[in-house]
Amino acid sequence: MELPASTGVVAGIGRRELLLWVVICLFANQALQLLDIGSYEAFAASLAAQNIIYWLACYAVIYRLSGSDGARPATRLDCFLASAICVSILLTSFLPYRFGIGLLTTITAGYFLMADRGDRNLTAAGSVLLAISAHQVWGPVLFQLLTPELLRADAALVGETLAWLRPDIIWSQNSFHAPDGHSISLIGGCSSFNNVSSAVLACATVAMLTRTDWHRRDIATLAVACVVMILMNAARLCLLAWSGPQHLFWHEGAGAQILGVAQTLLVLLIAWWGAAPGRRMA
Amino acid sequence: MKKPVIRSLCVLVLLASVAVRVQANQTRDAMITDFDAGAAITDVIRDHGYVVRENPVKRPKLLSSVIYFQRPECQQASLVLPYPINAETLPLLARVAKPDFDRHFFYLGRSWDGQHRASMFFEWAKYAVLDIFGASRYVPVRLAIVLAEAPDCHPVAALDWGAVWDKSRHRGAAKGAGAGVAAQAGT
Repeated sequence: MELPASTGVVAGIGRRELLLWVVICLFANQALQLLDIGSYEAFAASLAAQNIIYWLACYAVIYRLSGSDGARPATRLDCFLASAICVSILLTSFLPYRFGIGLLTTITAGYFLMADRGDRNLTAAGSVLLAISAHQVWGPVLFQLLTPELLRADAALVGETLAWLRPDIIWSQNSFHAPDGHSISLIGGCSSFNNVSSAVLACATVAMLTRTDWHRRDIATLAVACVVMILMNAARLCLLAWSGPQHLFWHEGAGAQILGVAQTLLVLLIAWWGAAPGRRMA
Repeated sequence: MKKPVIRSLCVLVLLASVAVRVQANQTRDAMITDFDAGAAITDVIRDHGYVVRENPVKRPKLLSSVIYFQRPECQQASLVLPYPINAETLPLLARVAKPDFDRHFFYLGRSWDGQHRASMFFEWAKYAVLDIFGASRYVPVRLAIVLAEAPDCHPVAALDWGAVWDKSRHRGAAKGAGAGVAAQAGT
């Protein structure tokens, strides 16, 4: 679907610059929901815990927007929408939660996609912006509704793996009991859904950083990335259920950081592999 | 409209929204820090004249947040587990409550027989919006509670669990305990 080409040009500012301002306002407000600026220590800790893929996606949006047609002036519709979104950003800033800003990100992404007027960079920016809003808001909302089912699926995968590797660990619903008394229960944060959400964002980001159009192959890349993330999470949960010391290392200790870095690197490598120009030619 | 004017307006929106959000985030963080779910639940139980029993599980275990109490008309102790509304609490509950125990979920002004996360989310959204205008009766923290009781336990008096989130109670508690009291809102 495409909106009418022009509803009147407003002299003064280019379309690219106006949309960049909107995106900068969105990202600045999103950043405040992700970073703890209560103290230097809290800020450093929250910075260290950031999802690199999310920030790469923000960069991809700005990169693609910067590459869009700079000579095109903003139309009345662009100005109206930018004003409406900016006023909404200001209003939703009174609500200190991600939902409001996420909803506005979705609306902005929808506008980029519908009103690109043949500018492929704008479409690419809209695609990544949509993936960001899905990762930040719609994914968690969906997860909220489907938590029991998704956790049962994760537990089944872990249970079947442990039945093969460690038959002495008893699997009961979402809980695993080792013979030494160590037991774990899967809760929302343990689900592979969060990793899958990151995988989707990574694949969309890397694809749109390397080019401005989608290929059929991207679906296969996305599927591989999701499966790898689910398997890695299952392996992590197996280690957590294995024994008390293993749980301590992989959940509380250095193991948690090692796994986090490994997952991020792996999903980015898969995404790059899928988007690599050499592979696309083949 | 000229370019410098549009740019100035954009910078103004950026700065104003960031300033307002920083302030709103700080208010929310203070609210979460001040909210002591364990103390609030204990107060509600004691206000109704029931005896709170000691939890054998200690911190940092997750189940240390469970609060046990004894109703005189019941043979077995009842228990209350506070949990984040988006958490899957049934596996945790299964570790402390017997399978035949009756479970009732409470959050702000409502109660459910099952863990209805979507309904709780909308309940939270309602009071979070009302709170912006100072019109919320409850502290809109995303912590709910689940009450588990033996099947043969037929309470004479129902407890008003909504008082756990009641703003007036928390204002009083904050004044009484002093501002330095840290909370375990994230249990």
